[in-house]
Amino acid sequence: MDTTSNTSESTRVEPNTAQLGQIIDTSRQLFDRMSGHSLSECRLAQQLETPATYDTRIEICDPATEENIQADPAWRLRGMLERLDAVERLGRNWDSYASEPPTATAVQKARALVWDVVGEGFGVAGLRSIPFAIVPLSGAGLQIEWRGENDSIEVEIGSDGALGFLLSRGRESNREFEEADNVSEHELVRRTLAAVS
Amino acid sequence: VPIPIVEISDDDFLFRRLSPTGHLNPDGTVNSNAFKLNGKPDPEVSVDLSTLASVREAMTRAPNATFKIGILQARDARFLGLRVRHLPTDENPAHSVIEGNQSKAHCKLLAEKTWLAAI
Repeated sequence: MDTTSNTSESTRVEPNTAQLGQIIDTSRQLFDRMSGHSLSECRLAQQLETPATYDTRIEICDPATEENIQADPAWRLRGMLERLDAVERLGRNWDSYASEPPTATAVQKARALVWDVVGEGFGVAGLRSIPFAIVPLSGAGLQIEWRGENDSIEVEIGSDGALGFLLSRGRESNREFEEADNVSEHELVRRTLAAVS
Repeated sequence: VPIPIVEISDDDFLFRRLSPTGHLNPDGTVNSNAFKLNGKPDPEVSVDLSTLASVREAMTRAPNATFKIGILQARDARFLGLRVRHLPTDENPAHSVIEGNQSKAHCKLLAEKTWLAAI
């Protein structure tokens, strides 16, 4: 029996309403601490119950509240999950160089990775555990980027689910890069958590 | 009639076609995926040379008007050790290539040096 894969399966956090609800509750507390505004006054609670898109802007009470909405973990996570759906729906030739949209395998792997990193990293890294960007990759793959305070990581997911990464450590002239292909999911989650924590 | 090959100076600008739904980050900056092909760094990135084509002419080769044009300077690609040369085709006399892009880091650095044309 492959104990490694068993361990990986047991630690994976699958997407579910309960977890999202927990993150929303956490974000509500954060929101109140930061602004003193009630989320219900800003209609955010209502908006969170409806589908959100990458570019959705909600009605706001005042500029200070708007800033906090953009920093709201639940809002950003919903946006990124919606973004995954949107990327999967891209048509052929989305890049004008005849690329196919991401395969279902790539999207499924991406979704699992997002939840793994948020599930394991939100308590330590907060907002940084939520991807900065999700984009399609030429050749029917996907790319997800996480940004930490100083480090960032771009994760490539091939059309067959194969994983690679580019890790960027430090800033500006002091930056160092490390990259690899055919990396295990466990290793990728570990490196991502290290980059954002 | 063969199209004469022109020298590309460090100061020349290069135009790269970008998908608005696929090549941009949420903050409007250019993602490194704009310099990848089939999931790998594109070893021969197609661009248009600014001395032979305008941004609007580069846009005419896009599938639709929602596409964007990214601009980078030849100097910035060469600074990374990449080659930039004019490689005209019958359909596009301004066609040029950035050669030697072999690493994910190059893709990221090229993207960081690319900005969007205001059309």
